[in-house]
Amino acid sequence: MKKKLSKPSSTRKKASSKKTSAKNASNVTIYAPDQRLKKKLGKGQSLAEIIAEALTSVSGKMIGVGHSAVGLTHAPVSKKATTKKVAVKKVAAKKVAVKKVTAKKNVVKKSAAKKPVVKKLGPKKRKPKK
Amino acid sequence: MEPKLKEFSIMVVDDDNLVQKLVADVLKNLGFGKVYRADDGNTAIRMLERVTVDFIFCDWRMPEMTGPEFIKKVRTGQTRANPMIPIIMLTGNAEQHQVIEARNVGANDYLIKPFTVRQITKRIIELVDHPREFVAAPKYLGPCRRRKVAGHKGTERRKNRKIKGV
Repeated sequence: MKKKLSKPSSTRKKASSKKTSAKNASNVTIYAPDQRLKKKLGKGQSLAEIIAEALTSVSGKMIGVGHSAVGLTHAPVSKKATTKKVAVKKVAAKKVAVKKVTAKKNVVKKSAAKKPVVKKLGPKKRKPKK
Repeated sequence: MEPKLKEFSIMVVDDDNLVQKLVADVLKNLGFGKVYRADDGNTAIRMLERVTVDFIFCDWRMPEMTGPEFIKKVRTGQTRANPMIPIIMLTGNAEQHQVIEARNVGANDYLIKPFTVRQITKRIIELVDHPREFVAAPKYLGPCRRRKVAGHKGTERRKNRKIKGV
């Protein structure tokens, strides 16, 4: 059985898009961009510059407080985090010191235990009679 | 405080009071004049009958009327607000299909929670300094979705377009 060759999908799509575009083009009305807001500002500084100044004037201040879903944090949270870290570091340092001491003791014991015990072969020497 | 920013008025539509207050506080501290707060879409529509605002921050998930439904109502002129008013979607929904849906409904920009002050200001600057054309097509009402400056390589599909002044 021979398979029938169909048109490639790309050509079909092109044909359909032309039809729809011709339909839509007839009733589209485009209005010029609304310049009322720009006119409100007047000539001189742009809104970006004005807002940049406003942001610098309020930088570092709390200008709104919300809950966690809104994504705001507050200063005490970071303070607590730093004190906790310090405490953890101190404890860790103490533990290390203890370990070092025990390691030294072990070394001494091991060296003593490893001394070879030499067994003398042959008959035991008798002490000479006086 | 910048005196020029005081002329701008903003509306925040969110059912969560904390988010509402947070956005309002941030904007007020930056120097924006009036910040109106609404709990849901219906309240926002009623408020828009009395006041005019320059931007709207809108949540997605709200009781009675969702964010996209609210944007649709504003864009189709079912409210007294200017249909071309810039609307920023402020939501926790970060899926790609949701961002595309918001864009197709007519949202100008998309901001995902958790957000920072810089992200909010960046969106506002983008809307004021680089406003986009407004497209009114049978299936779409909203800002032009072609955001890239790069030219379109294919044939011009909007030959019969009429450009109107606002």
